[in-house]
Amino acid sequence: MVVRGWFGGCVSMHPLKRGLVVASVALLALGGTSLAQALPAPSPMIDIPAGAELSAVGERAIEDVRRCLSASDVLNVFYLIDNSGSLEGFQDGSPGTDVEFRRVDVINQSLRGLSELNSGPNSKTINFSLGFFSSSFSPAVGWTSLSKETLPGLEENIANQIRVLQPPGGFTHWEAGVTEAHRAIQEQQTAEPGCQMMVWLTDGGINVNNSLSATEQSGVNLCGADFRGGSLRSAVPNGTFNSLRQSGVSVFAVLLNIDSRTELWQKDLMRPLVEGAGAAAAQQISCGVNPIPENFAAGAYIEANSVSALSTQFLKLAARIGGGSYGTMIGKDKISVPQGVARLQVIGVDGGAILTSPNGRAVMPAGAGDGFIDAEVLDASEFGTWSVTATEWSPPAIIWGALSLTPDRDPKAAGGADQSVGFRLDTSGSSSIAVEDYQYTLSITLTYPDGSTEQETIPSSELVAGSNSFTFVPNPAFSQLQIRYATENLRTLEGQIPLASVVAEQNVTITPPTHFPTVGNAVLTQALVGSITPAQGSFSLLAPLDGNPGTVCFPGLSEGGLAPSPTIVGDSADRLSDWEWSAIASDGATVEGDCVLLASGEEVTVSYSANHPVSADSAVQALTDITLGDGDGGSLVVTKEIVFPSERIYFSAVGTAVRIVLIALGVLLPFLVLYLVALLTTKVFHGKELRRAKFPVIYDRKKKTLVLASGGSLTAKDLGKDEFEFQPPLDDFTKLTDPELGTLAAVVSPNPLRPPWFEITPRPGQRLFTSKEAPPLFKNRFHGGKKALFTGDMSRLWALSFSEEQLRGATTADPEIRGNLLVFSRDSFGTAVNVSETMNGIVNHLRGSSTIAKAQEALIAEANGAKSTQGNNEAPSGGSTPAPPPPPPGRGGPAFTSPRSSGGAAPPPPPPRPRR
Amino acid sequence: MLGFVPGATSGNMILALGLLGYFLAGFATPLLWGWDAALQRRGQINPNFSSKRQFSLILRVLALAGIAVSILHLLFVSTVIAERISEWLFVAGLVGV
Repeated sequence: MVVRGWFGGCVSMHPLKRGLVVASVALLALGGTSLAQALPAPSPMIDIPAGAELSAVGERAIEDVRRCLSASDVLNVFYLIDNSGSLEGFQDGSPGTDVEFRRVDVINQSLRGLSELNSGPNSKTINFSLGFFSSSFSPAVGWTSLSKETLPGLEENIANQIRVLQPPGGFTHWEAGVTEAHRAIQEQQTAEPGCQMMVWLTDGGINVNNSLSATEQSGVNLCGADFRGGSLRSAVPNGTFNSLRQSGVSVFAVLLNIDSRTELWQKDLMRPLVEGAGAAAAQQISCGVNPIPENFAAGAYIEANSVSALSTQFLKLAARIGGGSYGTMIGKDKISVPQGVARLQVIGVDGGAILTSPNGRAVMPAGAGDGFIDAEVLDASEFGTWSVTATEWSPPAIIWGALSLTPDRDPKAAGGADQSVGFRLDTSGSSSIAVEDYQYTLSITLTYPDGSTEQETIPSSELVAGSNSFTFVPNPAFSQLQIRYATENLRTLEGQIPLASVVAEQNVTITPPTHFPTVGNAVLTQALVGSITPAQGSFSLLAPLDGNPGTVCFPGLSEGGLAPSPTIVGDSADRLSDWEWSAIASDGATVEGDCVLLASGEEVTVSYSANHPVSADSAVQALTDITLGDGDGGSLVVTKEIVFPSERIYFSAVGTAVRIVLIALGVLLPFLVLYLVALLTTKVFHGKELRRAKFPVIYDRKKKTLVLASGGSLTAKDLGKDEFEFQPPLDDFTKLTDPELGTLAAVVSPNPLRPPWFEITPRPGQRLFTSKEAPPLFKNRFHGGKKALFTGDMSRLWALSFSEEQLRGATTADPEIRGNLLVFSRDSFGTAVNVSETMNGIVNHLRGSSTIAKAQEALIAEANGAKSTQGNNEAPSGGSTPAPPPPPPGRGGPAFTSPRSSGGAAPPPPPPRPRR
Repeated sequence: MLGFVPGATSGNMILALGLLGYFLAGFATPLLWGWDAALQRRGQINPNFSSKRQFSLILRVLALAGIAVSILHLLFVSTVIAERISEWLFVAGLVGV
C-alpha cells in the first residue's frame, strides 16, 4: 500500500509503520493545533470503523496527558517497540511484518514531531528513551533530551540500533518489555519529574517462549488477576499496568492485529491491561484497581486490523488529542461553522476535493494524495456553512474551538483563610473569536493529598477574557493542593455546537499562618530500590515568618523514627503496613523530644527514610502528621505528603537460575537423604556366638553333588561338631575382609529406589558361590562367581569357594572340582549348631542350581578368548601358566581369624586332586 | 541481608512457609521411607519378624508424591529468593538494571 508520508514524499506504508505513526501522531498532537495541522494523509478510501473510536478510558488518557502538560514543563516519553522475530519472518516461512526496517523511518519521523514540543511559547522539555522487547527487554536509547539539536544524533543512533545492533528475534514477552520500560521511566522521574508517557507498540499477542503456561502466568502478572478463571497468582500485586497507572504513566498501546498465529485472548488482553477493563476471549475482565482512581493515569488502547483502518485511526486520534471534536453536519456535505469554531478538518477526501467557506474561499488538500483538508477560519466572514465538494469523504468533519485556559503556575495560598488563585482565559490570539463566544460551566476540583476533594462550578457568564480568579479556603492541615479545571458542556454560544472540553491543572502550595513555622514539601533524594536501599528525602523547616521562634514536632523523632508510621494512601502493591521509617534532624539543630526548636530565622532540615521488605514497582504516597508550634503555645497539625517511587529489582535470569538450582536440589536432596539413611543403617549383622567351619569339599559338576574331600557324607550327623569354632564378637559392619572368603560388604546403590544388598568379593583367582543367586538386574556384577550375594546375616551364610584353576580344569570326563565350603552358624542359648540340617540345605540347593556349571563355562570361554587375543597379538606365551594372583589385600576393615590359620597368613592351598 | 524472619512480612512468610512445606514434603516423607526400609531390613534377622510390605509401599508412594509436591513449594519460594539475590547483586553493583 502506498500513501503520502507525513512530511511529504511518497512512502510505502507498512502496517507496523502505521502503528508507530499512530503513536507518534498522538504525541505530535499534544503540542496543540499547530502540530495537528501536520497530520499525515490517510488513504483515499477511508471508512472509519466503529472499533477505531477511543473508549471512555482512552479519552480520559488523552485528557490526563493534556492536563498534566498544562501544569508541567517536562514530558518523559518512553518508546517500547516490539522487536520479535515476527518482524523478520514467521516460522512457517512467510515474510515478517517489517522486513525492510521501515520502523526506523517511522520512529525517526515521530521524533521530529516530538521535537516540535520543545519549541514555541509553550516549550516543553522532552526526555526520550527507547527500548525493544521480544523474549526479553533490550535497552536501545538511553534518556536523552529531545530537541532540534539532539535530533540528528538520535536518529542515527536509532537507525544503527535497529538495522545493525539489534536484529529482530524471539517471542513477544510483553511483561519483560513493559516492566523494564516502567523501571526506566521511574528512574527518569526521580531524576527529572514530569508528565509520563509510554508508547507501546506490538505486532502480535503476548507469547512467552511459546509456552502457554508461561504466557498465562505472564498475562496474570501484567493484569493482577487470573483473567482466565484459574488460580494463578500475580507476582506483581494488582498487576504491572496498575502500577503504571498508579505511578502516573499514561500508556498508549497500539496493537497491529494482523497476526493470526496467536490465540484470541493473547491479543484481546491488551485493552484490559492498558484501560483497566475490557473484553477478552468473549468475557469481561478487569485488571488492577477498577474503576481507575482519579489520581491514577488512564491508558488508551488502539487497534488496527488493516492498513486503511489504521490510517483512519491515527487521523482521528490525532484530531481528538489535538482538541478536536465532531462537527455538526447540515446534510451530507455541509458543515455548520458558527462563531467560536476556529478550525475544521474533513478526512478521507480525494485529491480533487474542495472545502468552500461561506465567503467563497476554496481550500484544497495540501498535496494531491493527502486525503484530508485542513482549514483555519480566518475571519468573521467565514462563519456560517462550509461545504465539501468531493467524490468521497468520511463525515462528520472535525472542528476546533479557540478557547484556552491557562492557570497561574505554582501559586501559594495561606491555609485557613480566603485565598485566590488565578487563571487566564483567551482565544489563542484569534481576532475573530472572543471568550464570550462560548457557553460552558467551568468545573474546578480541589484535591488534597489524602484524596479528599472539594468542587466548585462557575458559569461562563461569570468569567471574563483575560485574568480570572477563584477564591477558596485552603485546608491548613495540608501543605499542598491540586486544582483541576475542566469546561463542562462547552458549546459555541451561536448555534450551540459542542466542542471538546478544555482541561488544565494547577498545583497550589498551602502555607501556614505566619506565626507558625513553615515545613517545605518533601524533597526526594533516593527512590526505594528493592527492599534494601530505602527511599530517602528531607523536609526543610523554616522558623515563623513573623520573626518569633517556633517548633516543629515529628512523631517519634526522639527515637529516630516516625511513629506512628505515616499513613500509606497510595501504593500499587498495597503495602499498607510493615514500613520502616526513620527521621533525623540535621546537625546543629536543637531537638527536644520529638520537636525541633527553631530560633528566629533559623532553617533546619529533617531527613527521613522509608523501607519495606517487599519490593514492588510503584509510586508510594504517604501522609504524616506534623505539629507546628508558635512561640505562644499555639499549635497547628498539618499533614505532609511523602511521595517516592518504589522499584522492584528482579533479574529474570537470576529467577531462572534459582528455579533450576532449587528444582535440582529439591529432587536430589530427598534422594540424598534416602541414600544417607540407607548408608547409615545398612550393615552386615555379625552378632555374638557366631561360629564358622571350613570343609575341603569336592563338587561333582556332572551330578551336582558335594562331598567332603576327606571322604564321608557331608550330611552326617556327627559332622562338624569340632569344626565350628566361635568367632570373636564383632560389631555389625559395612565392610570386612575375610582371609578365605574375600571382602564382605553392605552395598548401597546411588539409586535410592534400589534396595541395598550384601555381597562377597572373593580373593583374586577365586570364585565364590552362595545360597543367594543374583537377580537378572545384577547379572553382570555377579556373573560367574566373581561376586556372591548373601542375606546380610552372617549366621545364615555359607559359601563354596573354588580356585579358578580348579573350576576351569573340570571336564565332562573329570567333573570333580575341589574347593572349600565355609559355613557360618549361630549357637544360640547353648543350643548346638544343627549341622545336618544346614548341610542338607546346601546340598539340596546345589543340586537344583546350575550356577557353578555356568561359571565354569564362562571361565573357559574367557580363557579361550584370552588365548585367542594373545595369538592374534603374537605374544609368545610359551604355554606357561600365568603367575598366581597376589595374596588378598589386608585392608578393608577387621579380618576374621581363620580357625585353621594363624597370624593372618595366606590360606592353605586346596587339597591335591586325588590320583586315580 | 539474605536472612529471613518468619512471620515478619508477607515475603518472608511466603519464604518460611515454602521452606517448611518443602522440608515436610520433600524431606520428612523420604526420611520416613528410609527409616522404614532400614527397620524392615533389620527385622529380617529376627525369625519372628513379619514384614509389612503394604506399609512400605504406602510410604514409598508418599515419599515420591512428597518430592513432587516439594517442587511446587520450591517454585513458590524461588521468586522471593531470586528477588533477594537480584537486589543483592544490584546493590553490590555486580548487575545493573
